[in-house]
Amino acid sequence: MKMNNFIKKSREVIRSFLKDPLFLCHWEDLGYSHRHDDNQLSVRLSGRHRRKAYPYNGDSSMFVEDMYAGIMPFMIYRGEREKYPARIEPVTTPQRQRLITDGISQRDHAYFLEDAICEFVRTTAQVLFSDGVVLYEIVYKKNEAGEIDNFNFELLQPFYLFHFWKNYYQIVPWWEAKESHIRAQIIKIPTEKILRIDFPRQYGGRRKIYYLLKRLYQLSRELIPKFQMDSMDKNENIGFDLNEFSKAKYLEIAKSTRMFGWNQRQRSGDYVTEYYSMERFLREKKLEATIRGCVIDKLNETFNREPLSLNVKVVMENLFSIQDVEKQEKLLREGNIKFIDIFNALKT
Amino acid sequence: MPLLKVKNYLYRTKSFWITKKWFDNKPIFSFWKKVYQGGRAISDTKNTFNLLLPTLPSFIKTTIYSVVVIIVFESFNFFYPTNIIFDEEAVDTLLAAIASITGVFLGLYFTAISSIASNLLIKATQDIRRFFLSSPKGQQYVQTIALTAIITIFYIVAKSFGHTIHPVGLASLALLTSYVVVRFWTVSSAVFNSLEPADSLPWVTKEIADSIKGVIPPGFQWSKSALQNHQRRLVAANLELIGNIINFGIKEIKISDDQLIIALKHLGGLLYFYSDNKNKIPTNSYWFMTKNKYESWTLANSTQIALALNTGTTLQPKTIKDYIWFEEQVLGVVAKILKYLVNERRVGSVFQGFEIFVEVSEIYGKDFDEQGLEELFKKLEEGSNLIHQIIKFDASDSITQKELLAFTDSEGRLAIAALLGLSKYLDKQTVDDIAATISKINWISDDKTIYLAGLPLPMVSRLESMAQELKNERLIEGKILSQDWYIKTLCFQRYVFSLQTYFNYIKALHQDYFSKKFEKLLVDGQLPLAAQFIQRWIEFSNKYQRLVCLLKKHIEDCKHFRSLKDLSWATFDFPQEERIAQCRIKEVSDRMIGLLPKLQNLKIEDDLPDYFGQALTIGIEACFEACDDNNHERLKKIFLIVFQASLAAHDMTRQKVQSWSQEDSKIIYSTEPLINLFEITGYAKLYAELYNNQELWNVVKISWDVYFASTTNAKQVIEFIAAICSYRDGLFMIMPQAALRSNWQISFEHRMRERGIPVFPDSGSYDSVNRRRQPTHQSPIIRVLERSGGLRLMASARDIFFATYLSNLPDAVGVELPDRHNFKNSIQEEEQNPNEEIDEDE
Repeated sequence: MKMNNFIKKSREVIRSFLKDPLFLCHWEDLGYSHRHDDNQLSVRLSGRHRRKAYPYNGDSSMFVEDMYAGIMPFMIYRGEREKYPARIEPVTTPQRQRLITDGISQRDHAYFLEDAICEFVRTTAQVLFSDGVVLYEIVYKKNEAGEIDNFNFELLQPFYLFHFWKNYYQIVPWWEAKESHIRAQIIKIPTEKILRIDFPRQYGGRRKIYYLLKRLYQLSRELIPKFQMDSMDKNENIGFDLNEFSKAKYLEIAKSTRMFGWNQRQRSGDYVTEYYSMERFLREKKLEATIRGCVIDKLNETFNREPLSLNVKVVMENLFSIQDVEKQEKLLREGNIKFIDIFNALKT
Repeated sequence: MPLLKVKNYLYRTKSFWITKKWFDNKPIFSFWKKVYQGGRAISDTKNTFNLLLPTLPSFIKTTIYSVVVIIVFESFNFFYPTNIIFDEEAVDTLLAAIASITGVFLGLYFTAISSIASNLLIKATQDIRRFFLSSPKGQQYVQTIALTAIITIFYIVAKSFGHTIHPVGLASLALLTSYVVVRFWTVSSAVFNSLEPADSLPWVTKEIADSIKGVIPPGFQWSKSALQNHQRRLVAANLELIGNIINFGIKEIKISDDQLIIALKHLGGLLYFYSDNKNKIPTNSYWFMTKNKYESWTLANSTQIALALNTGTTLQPKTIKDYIWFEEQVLGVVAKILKYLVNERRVGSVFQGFEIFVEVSEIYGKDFDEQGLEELFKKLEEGSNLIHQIIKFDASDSITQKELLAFTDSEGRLAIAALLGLSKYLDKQTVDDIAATISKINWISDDKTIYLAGLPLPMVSRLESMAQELKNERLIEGKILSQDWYIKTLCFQRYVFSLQTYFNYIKALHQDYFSKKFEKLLVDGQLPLAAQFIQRWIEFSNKYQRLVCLLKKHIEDCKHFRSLKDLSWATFDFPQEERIAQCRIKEVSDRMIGLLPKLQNLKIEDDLPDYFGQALTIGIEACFEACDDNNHERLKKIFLIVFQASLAAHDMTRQKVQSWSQEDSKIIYSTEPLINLFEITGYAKLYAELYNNQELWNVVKISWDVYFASTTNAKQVIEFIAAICSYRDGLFMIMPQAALRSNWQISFEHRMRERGIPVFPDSGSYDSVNRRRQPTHQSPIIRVLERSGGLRLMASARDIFFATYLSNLPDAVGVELPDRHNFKNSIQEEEQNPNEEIDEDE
């Protein structure tokens, strides 16, 4: 009986090996791997293995959170929708407006255009600050007349995605296939189906973000070095100076992030003047305005090219612009101001 | 690799911290220690040289005298030549003699030292014994003897090897030996007296001053923690030595008061010097003593909490700097000396000692060093507070009385000096000067400029943090972005806050110092001292009023530098402050007036101030002020006292001038208090009418009613009043206090003008006088005045009193009271015919 079972199992193993000698489908689980839409080409990957270089925690996580959190207003608060109204230009039918709103939105239920834009920009900004690039696959369905019936943007992990000639190739290696319960494969995605937004070049691009996050992680790995904790356990004085240690860390982060104006959550007001903090605040706001403008421009560009060709653009009013920030910079340098006025002028 | 990256990398390695600690503790510390010791040795040599210099004139004088004697002796060789051959062995003998002399004097010196030590120093503390043995003058002397002995021995050895000594060497040796002999007595007596403050304190205080110089720029390694710590310990030990020398001097040597006053002078000088330099010491310097302060878990930051949780310990205590430890220790000794003098009832010496610190208290103003000033007041109070309990003015002889008065005066002047310190600073220092000083600071490359800027002490911490923050900014950005306006705003913010704190302390002196002391003097039964003290209080209140004006201007100027509108700023309510200052002057005047009943019985000689007269004059002036301010409450409080005091003053002056030869002078001077009283009564009536506040008049009327009701011979009194007034009116001369009364008249007419009533020579007054203008005031008295062109042309306030009150008394019937302008009838006519038509013809 035992012998029979063994033979049976061995036969099954050999048969499955012969059927899939490269283990391409070995970890595939249809429950995990089914796509959001039948027209979707890409698959969702975890990207966990690639992130091992700099885990997303400590100062790096705080940096990303702080940079994208204020980029758009939070529409959940009363009156925000009226304060920052959005519209589609040229004015279009309600059905078409719904189509566009649903397309931008990542949610399944009915949604306002203002909410949809804010969420899209915020999500995009978060990925931009985490990865330095955002890639969406434009998933759409056309009716018999060739008009767009519905569309949506599927976020792609930038890892294992390569651009070659007129196509993107998503490579799913075995370890990712195992992690994501999908088939190991290479998926070809035409370039026109991709919405790609890069981190602005004037801020150092993708490479700068990568090195910055990595360094932030390294610096914030330990609040107090382990050797000092061990020395304290032993009641031993090795001359460690926590103030010096914290200050050096603060200064390096401040220097690394000076283009972004990140104020490290004001963890120490003792290191820099309040004026300089305001200068950095304005830089942060300028960056927010730049990223926001960049994302909305790219979105509008996608609406007006193949495959969507909707010939519309979305506009959101009353958000501060780069010119507004520059005006506040001028006011700050001249003096006779209130910091709170500058802060309020650029509040979202 | 950028510097910060390298730094962060190193900070994350244990070996770096261990190596750093080793370097800091071993080679670096040892290096600076050696350099410091070298510097000290040079300084000691300089001191020795400085000691030598003043001794040279007397030595040179003696030497010249000796040379003259030798020349005289040697001239015999010329005038009376002899054939005696110079014996070369004489040189040997000379050298041997010199060696013996040096040995003898060294022995004598140490014999003297031993004798003193065995008799005197047996009860001295360790530090005193050490100081005695290392007395700088003695050391310099011993060094000279040692040098002479060593040179001589070397010469003897050299000669035994056949060397011929050059005459210059022999001559020098002879000079050195002479110096040793000549200086012996001076040095011995100096060493004997070396424990007296006059001899010891210059050295000890110089050491302290040198240490203070060591912790401020450009002192040697002034910013090094180890040296700051060392200097502090040196100074603490020296201050303890001063305390011990004083104690020893008082108990064992029985030093004189003069010596103690010299000691106080040195200590005062030390405080003065320190206050002048305190703002040059970094606030985190180890010069300042530290104490631990444990923080609350709810107030601690996340790093502290994480550290405590991860190590399973409590929160690490914070080290708090004690910024007044030096003042505490110096003033501790001062308080001890004063206490001793008080207990010994040496009032004159207490006064002299106290007076030194009156000058010192002024210097704290320029630095807004409220803590230092507070300590000065506290310790001086501690040292001298018992004097008024121990020594009673009434029970003392004339000299002690004067000393007590002088001391009390000094007590008052101590607070005035503190106030003046701030006033002088505000007078001298413009806000633009401060801004210019801030602009000159080199924030990045030269730390010294912060401390040498000379800005007030509480600003130093802000300057330090600003410099640090700007340095960090430069490190991050490669340049400074913070604007000049921001830097100045922040500096001025601290400036105005610290100025406010200091001002509030000065303001509080009114209540906490003057009021308390004054009450205490009264409780202790020291009436003349209270009267003396309140004079200074009045002076303080007046100066305080000026200080408020100065401060107002200064703070308004500072506002121009407030370029950040949401930065908190010290708020001053100047209209309120001005009112307070005004009220305080009145309050103190009223307190002095309150002393009048007691002062009129005070018997004092001519060589002491006339407290009663002063209080009465202030009182009469205060009564007028109360009328002018329409303040019947105040008038009620003081008028009766002034009334009685004026009557008493008349009696007292009459007795005083009894011996005068001129009768009219006797009458004029003795009746001046009464005339003032009549005038004030008249003004009370006039102001009551002008302000339509009959309470003013009622207060005064009641006093007169009570007076006449209690007098059995009211008619005689009225006749007397009529007689003296008529007599005075008949004299063509300016009365002694006429100027005072003229001012009242001017003030009253000014009030009339304020209410639209024209007064001569205003153009409108002609219309009133010529009846072309109808007076509108509801009071017939004021209408009459208006028709008369004001008070000056019509009558004096005294006449108003006579016309409206005195002449209406039943006892005044038949008495002809002076009424030159028939004022009484005019009022009656005005009352009966208030709407008299304007007669154009008139």
